[in-house]
Amino acid sequence: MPTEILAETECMRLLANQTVGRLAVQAGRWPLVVPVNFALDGGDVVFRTGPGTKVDSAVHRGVGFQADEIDLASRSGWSVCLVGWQRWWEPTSWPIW
Amino acid sequence: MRETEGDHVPVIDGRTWLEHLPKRECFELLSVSAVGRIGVLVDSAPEIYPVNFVVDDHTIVFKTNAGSKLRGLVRSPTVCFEADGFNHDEQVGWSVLVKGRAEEVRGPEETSRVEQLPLRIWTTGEKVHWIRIRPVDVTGRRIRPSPDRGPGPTRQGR
Repeated sequence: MPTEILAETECMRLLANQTVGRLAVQAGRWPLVVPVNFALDGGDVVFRTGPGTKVDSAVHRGVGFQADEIDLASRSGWSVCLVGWQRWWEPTSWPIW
Repeated sequence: MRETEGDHVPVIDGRTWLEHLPKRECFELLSVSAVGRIGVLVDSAPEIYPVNFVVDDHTIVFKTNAGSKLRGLVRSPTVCFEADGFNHDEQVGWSVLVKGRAEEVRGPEETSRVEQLPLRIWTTGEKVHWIRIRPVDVTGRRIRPSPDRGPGPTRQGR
């Protein structure tokens, strides 16, 4: 199957229709990869989490994010990868969604 | 890899309703997965790339070409490998996370061995570098159906 490079607008359209993605944070020596439920807010990826590794590891550091949709039968699919900076809201100021 | 109590029996987290999977089951799930994702440090940010892979004697084996993924894991061989499976309608799924060291397969004997593995690569074009991840730690989690969990928000177009 040939590989097609997707335009950024197409990447964001695909992300908007996906509900599970994977966050990569550098935790000690490890670039941990953990699945999260997410939503898009404009061009930002937004997810909720409790206290723990995902928050502790990402203070002022770059993070990676990836989502995909894979069809095993036809051995095809799409994958969108991005890197960015993570920040978070305290519970008192979380937007309601 | 060190042995722990969770190697053999599933443990359920009462707060999150997550089931922590025994290592044996983690490898069983990896063995039937065609696609996994490698987390590797590239230019100081962790990046995730999907790859076709096979399990070979409790190691992860895949092929790649020269590029940012290969450059990243050569510079920083401590990598993570993740595979998962989800049922979006029922909001259940599993994920397995492998922490390990990546190394390029070299030498005629090792290369001959990995070339016999049943690795099916979906993309066209020859990939020339064989990579093996030797696990240091393997953990797995499953989201179980919870009776008090309501349906999530629906997305347009799904």
